[in-house]
Amino acid sequence: MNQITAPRRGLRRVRQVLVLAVVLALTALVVPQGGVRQVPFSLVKVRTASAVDHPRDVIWILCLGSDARPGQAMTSTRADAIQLVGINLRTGAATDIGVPRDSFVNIPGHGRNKINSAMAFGGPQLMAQAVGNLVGIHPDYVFAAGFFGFRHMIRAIGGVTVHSEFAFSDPVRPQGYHHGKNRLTPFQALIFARMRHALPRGDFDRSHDQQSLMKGILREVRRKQDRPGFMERGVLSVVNNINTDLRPSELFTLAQAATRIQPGKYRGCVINGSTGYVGAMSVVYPDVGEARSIARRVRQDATLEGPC
Amino acid sequence: MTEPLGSIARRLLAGLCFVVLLALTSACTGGDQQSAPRPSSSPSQPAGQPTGPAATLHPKPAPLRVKVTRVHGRMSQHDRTVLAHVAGRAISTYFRNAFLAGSYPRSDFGNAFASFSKGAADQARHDRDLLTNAALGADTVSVTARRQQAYLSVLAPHKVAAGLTAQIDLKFLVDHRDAPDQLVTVRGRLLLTRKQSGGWQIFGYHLSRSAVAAKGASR
Repeated sequence: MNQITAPRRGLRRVRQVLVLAVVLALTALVVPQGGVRQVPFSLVKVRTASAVDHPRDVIWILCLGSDARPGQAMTSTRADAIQLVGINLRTGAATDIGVPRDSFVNIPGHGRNKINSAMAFGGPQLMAQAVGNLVGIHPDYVFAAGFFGFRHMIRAIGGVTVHSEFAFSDPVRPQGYHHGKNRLTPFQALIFARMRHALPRGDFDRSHDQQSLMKGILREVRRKQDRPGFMERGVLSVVNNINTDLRPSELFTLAQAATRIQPGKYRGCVINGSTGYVGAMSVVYPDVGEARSIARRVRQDATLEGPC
Repeated sequence: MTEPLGSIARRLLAGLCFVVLLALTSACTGGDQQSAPRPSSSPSQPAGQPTGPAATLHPKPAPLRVKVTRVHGRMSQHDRTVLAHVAGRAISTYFRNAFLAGSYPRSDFGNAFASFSKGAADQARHDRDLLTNAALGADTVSVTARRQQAYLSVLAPHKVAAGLTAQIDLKFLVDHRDAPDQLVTVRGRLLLTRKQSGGWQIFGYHLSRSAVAAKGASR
């Protein structure tokens, strides 16, 4: 049996200590780093909440499409698109009342004339008064956009998808406008909003198409609202291209609040009427009783139950 | 005079143990916080500071990082910096009051929406389980911020900010008394506009909240 000397015992201790130290060091390297380690779950419950504060629950906005040509003032020409839109920011409902532009009505201070001439006579204020007198709901705000501004705003949201009741053709859209869904460029959207002659009921169907366009814009905005900068870019386009006396900050809060409107709760009605002539002028005699009846049902909450 | 080999071994072992401990403790402070910049505001109690009695072993909380990433319109660089600071104050107030600050276990979240508009605060109270730690407060020992970010998209049509959207990403570790720790994530958008009295307020929110079990160095 070998006798182990003191120096050899010492060397063995050193070796043992070194082995222990290496094991410890390796352990430190192999064990995952500290901090938080997430336990892999196949299902993580995600809850969401959203709300937008606005001083009013129900807002009525008169949206006007101006007929202004290049060089003409937007608010001193006729309004070809006339949509009175009520939105309920509490419930997400909306009602859009379309007014045929040829509606022959009394224009305060100017006698009887087509309603679209009110804009040329007295700007957005007189237009709001004329529409308010016809329908029985006076708008809180008036937005007026021209051809160029409209296209610019559609471009800002990246185009729009509309549902067309009728198929028709136009050179700006080689594939034509189909019955059903159509994805439109800004210029195609403008033509869709203005097209009248190709539609069976002319001005009435055009007003209906304008409502389809409004609903399409709402869908587009809701779909993209969470993209960084999307809402700011869209509101900047509105600030630059719409005539309104709202401050940019008010437009921003209103636009954010309007994203609460649910397309499924967006209802559209077009005021009916009969057509005729006053001299050589083609006019629509609006059904005032129907207009007032719709207004009574939706004035308080912008919510239309049942048919128009 | 030569030292005994046993003494050398003991010193060697002590040295290596020190290295190992150093490696372990530095790992505890690694991760998200290392690259995070300093907070843009300096509240009296830094946001996300561990708030419970077991604070000594907590990793360093992540500071709030606020950055203007998009401007629609025009703003000078100086105005962007100022905006990040003042709008960041409203966001920081919300993060602290609703999640990170206070003494846990905590049941009072009454000031959680101090930087919200009145209408938004009224609506937020209905969503308080999601928008605050009210549902966790009583069972929580401490809360430690692991990530606090807000990227701002600004509307500035006339060289002045009129409104903004803050894309937020808040992540914090919840140290529970009788349950496994949780890593909670709150993400989404806060909508801000100017207050008439000055400063900025949150007038809308689109937020999501999720939580996963976490195993970490908080205990």
